[in-house]
Parts: sequence; structure tokens; C-alpha cells
Amino acid sequence: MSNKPDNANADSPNPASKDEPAKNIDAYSEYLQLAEGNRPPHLYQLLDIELFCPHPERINQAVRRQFRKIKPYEENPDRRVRERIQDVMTHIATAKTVLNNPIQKTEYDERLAKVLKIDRDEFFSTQTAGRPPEFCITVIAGPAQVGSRFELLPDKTVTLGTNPQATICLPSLRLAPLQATVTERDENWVIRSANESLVMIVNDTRCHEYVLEPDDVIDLVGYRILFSEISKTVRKGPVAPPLSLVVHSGPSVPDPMMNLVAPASVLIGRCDTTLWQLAGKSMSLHHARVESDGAFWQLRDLHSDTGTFLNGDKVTQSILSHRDVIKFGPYEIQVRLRK
Amino acid sequence: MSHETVKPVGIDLGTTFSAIAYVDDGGSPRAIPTAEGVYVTPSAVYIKPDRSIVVGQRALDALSERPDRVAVNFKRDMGEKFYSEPIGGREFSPEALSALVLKKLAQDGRNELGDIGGAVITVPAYFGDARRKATQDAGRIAGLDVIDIINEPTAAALANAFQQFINQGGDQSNLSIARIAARAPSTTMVYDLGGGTFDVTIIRIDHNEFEVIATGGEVRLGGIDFDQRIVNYYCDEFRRRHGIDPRDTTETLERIRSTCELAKIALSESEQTVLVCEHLGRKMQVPISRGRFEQLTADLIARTQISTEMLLEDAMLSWDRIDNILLVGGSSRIPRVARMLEEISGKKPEMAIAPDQIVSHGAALHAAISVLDRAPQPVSAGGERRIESESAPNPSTAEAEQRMMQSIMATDAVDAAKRIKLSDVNSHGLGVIVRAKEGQGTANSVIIPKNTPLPTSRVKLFGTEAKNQRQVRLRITEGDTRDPRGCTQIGECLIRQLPKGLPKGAPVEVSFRYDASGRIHVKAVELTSRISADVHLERTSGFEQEDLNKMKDAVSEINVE
Repeated sequence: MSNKPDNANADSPNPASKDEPAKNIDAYSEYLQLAEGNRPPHLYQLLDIELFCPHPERINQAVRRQFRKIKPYEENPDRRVRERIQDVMTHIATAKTVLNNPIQKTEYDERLAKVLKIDRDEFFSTQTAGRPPEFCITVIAGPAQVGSRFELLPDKTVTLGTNPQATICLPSLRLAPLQATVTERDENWVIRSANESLVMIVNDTRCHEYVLEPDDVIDLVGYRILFSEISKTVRKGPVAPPLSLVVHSGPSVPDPMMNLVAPASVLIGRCDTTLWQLAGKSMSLHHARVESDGAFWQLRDLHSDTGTFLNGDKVTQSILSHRDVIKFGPYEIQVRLRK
Repeated sequence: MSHETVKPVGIDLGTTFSAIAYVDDGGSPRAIPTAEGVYVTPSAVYIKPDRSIVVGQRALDALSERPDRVAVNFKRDMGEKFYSEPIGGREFSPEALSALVLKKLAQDGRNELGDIGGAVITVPAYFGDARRKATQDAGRIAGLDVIDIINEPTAAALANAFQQFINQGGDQSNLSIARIAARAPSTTMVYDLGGGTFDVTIIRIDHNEFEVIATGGEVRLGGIDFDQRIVNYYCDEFRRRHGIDPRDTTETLERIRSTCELAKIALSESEQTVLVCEHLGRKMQVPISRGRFEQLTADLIARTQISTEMLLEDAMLSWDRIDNILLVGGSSRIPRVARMLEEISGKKPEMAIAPDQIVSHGAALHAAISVLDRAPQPVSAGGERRIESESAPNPSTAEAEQRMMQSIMATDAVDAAKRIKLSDVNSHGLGVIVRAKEGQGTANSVIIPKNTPLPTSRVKLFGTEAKNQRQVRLRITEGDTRDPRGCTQIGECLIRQLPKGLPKGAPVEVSFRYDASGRIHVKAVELTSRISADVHLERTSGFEQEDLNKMKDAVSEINVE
């Protein structure tokens, strides 16, 4: 069996190459975009969260966010770069283990406070970061990220947009890198468009700035976001399972998939203010709506010109089941229920 | 070779261990023993100085004597050009080494069954296109008729559902595979921690339909990483006491590694064990407790936990929507695994009956079902399989079909098996490289995002980059980031000879089709001139056909012990 390398300089995994100085890349700034500074960073820098962060849920969310950032690069063709990436991934996993264990976390925090020459008690008394978060925002409809919940921390601005560095990265062709921000102002949470030209709809009203109340619904071009109190996010009674609507055939659309979690609803049509814009010919401006009703999802035709069809039958209102096929205008949409 | 007289097999080609199984006349999957009478074969290849080749346990035994001549863990390098270390001074491709393991398994299969038909080989669900191609090539080099590649968690879920049916008092002698899951629809999470890879998958099982919802994992995380932590622990201790590091001597290192692996297994049963090794005449004992082991490997378990939580996010599910957690793979026997999952989910995970064999059982079931599906067409290597074919056969072919199926399994089982449907998702996104906004270089535009149910097709509209552009080159990528460095190029599609004078931004429609057998079809059309180009990215081969044949011939002449 002959299987010689074609040429000598193929990426040969010769052990000797390990002794060469590893390519001088800083994987922390390269893949996690951490600010320059001490390497390796301490665990709070690594996770890009506030020093001594006391919220386990926020720590775990940050772990997943950082892991998602670096993981796609693990297949780098250069073995040494790959090893660096693996080291950073191990580091993130270590952060999860240490910071999720109350005893280890206290020990770590004490050590870190000493190194940074910070008095922890004093640090907390001057910081509001220790105050537990009261509100959260949840992505309840959109092409991606649906179901993700973000707790709003006092004194911390939340950014929304396509930028991977945004607090809530919303992949989309129709959103700006920085679309909107949510900040605390005089004990109220305020959402603001990043600039005047960007469309934002809160509770069906176009605006650029809005002081949020619990259960307000914010539409950001294709995404729907719910603002709510953390203590009241557990709902009683049956809840419809997550729903995905997938364009199976039809003219090309910016977002071929729309995901929903209860209590979201989605308006579908040609109009550019609809949450899911399907702009093909013979679509009405407001063609149909899908909304949750207790344990079910319901499809409603909004007196469209060309009608709404479910598994071939024209319908005005119907409950959706897994694998149903909806047709409106030139589009064929597949229904997928998570249960 | 004809399928009318021979049975197809399922092969779990693992990083550390491999297994082969078939479906017997009653419709039950059965493991095939090796000549030594065990049901798993270590994925190790020993190339002796006289160039004869030994595969399996005896190759593994030779590791500490001749570490330079034994290849292990080559599945980790699948998709790369060469295995990480030269063997006896020569470079080998991971495909060739895997082919030798497959050849040994096929020999065991022939010893048991007389002859074997096509084979289904399993891959981790999180494998990308290059690794899948490499696995398929390994099968071909070994001279197997590769019917299909199936994801390991899907195979495990299939075999587990089957096993549950038996446990619930199902009649094994008159088996109906399809009734195995004739219960309320349920959602199962398969947590598969093998020797070298980690997969986690959510599968919805509704009667006969096995529908993968989302999949995730890590291609370089498995039992061997847990072993390495114990090795480092022992060697650090050795160096502290004796001032020399056993890791500098390959022969000793392999002996320590094997001791540590056994210790890891022992720690799944007992609270404490002792590591005893000898290096340069100095024998040293190091006791190790389960607590210490868990401390040494906490971050590895944490990584599987991160992947598991990310998967739930991807699937938009919370733990209350998961009905069962199924543990698969030898390393999921580590007690911390089940405890961690119970802590985060509030559910008691269930260990697969034979976590080392279940994947090969599932592959065998899939092989049997696939052969029934594509009957009665003659079978050729790499023949296309249609998962949901419902076409009614005409009378003459129906008769042939009947005969063929009976030769594979009993009629009842045949009826049942034909009703099983599997549908999977893609584990990585597919897209094209595009020019980003002015001055921002290039970007990857995902067209089929990961976890899209297959088969699927998607269309996206782009514009040409410059005025009077005469050709458009599309680089087809696998990956989910906008940053092209996070993606792998898997193909190219070129539209040529566009008419002169097209404006900048002339519309180019790109359509992707990903069929159920893993083929990717890409078509690009410039809409004003209607000039188009298309390319089929078949998962045929990472090699030229000629090279593949050469290797196949070479392997067929090799005697594998």
C-alpha cells in the first residue's frame, strides 16, 4: 500500500514542528475579541461579564456565548492554531466549573481580589451589579435565537443587532450591526433605535424610543422580543410547543424560516411592517396570522385576496399540526412543531 | 456480489473500538463476534516490520512494545491528509488505516455469515462533509459496498427503540420492528460520549418515524481525553518523586496509558483504585479516588454540558420537553456523566443496554431497512437510497422483491421494517462566500442553516460585484459563521461567459439542494442573461477514482490478522 505525501511541504503533522515557536496569535483577542491585557485573562474577563458576577444563569449564558464564538474555528487547518483554540475552549469550560461551584467561586474570587488589589466587600457596596436583575427580554419570534432569554442587569446596556459582539446577536440581512439598545434610566428600562432611520415597533406602534412596561412586545424587522418580569415568566396552564415555519418552495425571501415560542404571534404578508415579510406576487399586504392559543397554534386568514390553504384545503381558521403544509400565494410553508 | 443471498451489515467505526452487527432472520440485530470471541474490536492497526498487518486487540497489545508501528485513534484525523504520526517511517492516510479495521470486521462478518452484502457505516452526527467523505472512502478502500453513512445517535435511537419493544414483552420470534415505537410521540436526547468524539442529538420518535430535530457535539472530545488526564496525574507524580518524566519515553507512556484506561474503567465501579507502573526500573504506586478523577476531568464534563445546553438553545427546547435521555458510548459509563445530566435536567438518564454495541445494532437495522427500500433494483456501490420511497412496485418486480426480502428476514419483519422512516438534519450550515459591504472584505452567507431537516432546498439572491463582470465564482462553504475563517470550503461553482456590459449588482440566484443521501447540489443563475452553472457535490470521494482503486487493490491483497 503506497500512500506517500505528494510534496514535502504538505501540512505534515511532524512532531518536530511542535518545537517551532507557535504562531504568535492571541486566540483570546482573535476569536473572543477580548481587550488587550493580561494573558491568560481572569475568568470574568474571559466570559466578558462583570467582575465577581453573582448570577449563575448569567455566567452560564456567557459561557455559551463565548463557546459559540470560538467553536467554529476549531477546524483551523493549522494544527498549532487548533491547539490554541482547544486551550481557550478548555479555559471556558474551567470557568464554568469554577464559577458554578459556590465554594470554588468564593475561593477564586478571594484570590482574584487579592491579585487585583480590590476589597471585595467594598467593591460590592459601591457597585449596583450585586442587585439582582428584575426584568428580562426574550426573543419570541424570528429566524434565529428564538427562546433565548437575557436578564437585564442594572447599569449594563444591552445592545441588539447583527454584530457578533452585540449582547443579543440577531443574525439577519435586514438588521443593522447595531439596531437598538436597552438601558436603565431613572429606574425604568428604555429601548432606543440606534438611529432614526431604523424601524422599531413597540406594541404595534412605530417609535424610536420607548419606556418599557412588563409584557411589552418589540418588533425589530423580523424579530419579536418580549420584555417581562423575571419572577413572572413562568406561565400557568398548557403552553404551545415551539413552532417553526419553513419556506419549502416559492420566490426567495430574506428569512426562509420563522420560529416562534408562545406567547408570540406572527403577521405574515407583503407589507414591510409584517413580522414575516413574504413579498411574492398575489400575497396580500396582511395575508395571514399565526398565533398561540393555549396548547395550540392557530392559523388565521386575514381576508386575503388569494386565500390561505392548509394541506390543500382553503381555510379561514385552523389549528396547526406537525408536518402540515400551508400555502399562500406562491409560497409553500412547512409546519414543524417541537412536540 | 448480490444481496439475494447475503445479509447486509452495520458497522460502528469508532475511535477506540469498532463493532459489526447484522439483522437475523427474525428481524433482530445481532453482534458478530471476533475470532477471539468478543464483540468489540479495538481500532488499532499494527504494521509489522515484515509488512504483515494485525488489527484489533493484538495490535493494541503491541502498542507498548512497538509504539512506532501501531496506529490508534486515527478517526480523530479523518478528513486530514495523513495520520498524525508516521508508521514504521511511512505516512498513512486515516482512510487507509480505517479501511484495514473495516477489512478485519468484514472478515469476522464472513466467518459468521458466510458472505456479507452491503454495509452501513456510522459517523458522529457532528462530523462535517470532509470526515463523512473520508469514512465512505475507507469503506470503499476496504472493498465494501457502502449502502449508506448513518449518524451514530440516530442509529442508537433506532436500536434502543427496538430494544424497548423487546423489553415490553414484544414477540422477538415474530417481530415487528415498526411496532417498536408504537407509543405516544416522545422526544429523546441521545448523549453519546465515545472513545474520541462526543455527540448530542435530540430525536423525536412518533410511531415509525425517527425525526432528528437538532444535533451538536465535539469531534475531539472522548474517553481518550479522560485517560490522558490520569496519565498526566501519574506522570506529574512520578516526576515529583523521581525527577524523571515517563512521558519522554514512548514505550513507557503507552503502558501507563493502558494502566490509566483500566483505572478509569475501575473507577466507574469502585471509589478508589491504584495506578501501578514501572519506568526505568522504578516502580511507583499512586492511589487515585473517584473524587480526584472527577476533579481532573471536571472541565471535560463541563464541555459536554455546554454542548448539551447549546443544543437545547438551538432546538428552542427546555428540559421539560425532553422525555428521555439515552446514554450511549463507553465513556458515558463515567458516573459523573449521569449525575451531571440529572442535575441540569431533573431527569434520570437511562443507560443503553449495551452502550458499546448499540450503535452497530442500529446501523444493522438501518442496513436491512435500506436494502428493503431500494429493492428490487440491482445494487451497486454507492447506490442512491431513497428514504421515503413509497412507489408501488409492478407485479413482476413485486415477486422479485418478495423473494429478496425473505432471504434477508422473515416476512412480518419485512413488512414492519419497510414502514420505518428516518429523517435527519445537517449538522453544519452550507453557504457561499460573498463580498461584504464596501471595504469589509469577504463574508460567508449561510444558505442552508444547520439543523435544517433533510432533504431541503433553499434559494438566495446575490448581485455581481463589479460592472461588466464576465464570470462569477462561487465558493461553497460548510460552517455557520459570517467570518469565512470559521468555515471550510467544500466546493466551487463557476458561471462563465456572461455577456458584456452587465451592470454592477446584476442578479445572481443561487440555489442549494441537500438531498436525503447527503448530496449537495448547487445551481447559480445570472437572471438577466439566464446563463447558469451547476455543480453536484457528491459525497463520493476526497480521492481521485484512480487512487481510490489503487488503494482498494492494495488493501485487497493485504492479509489482515
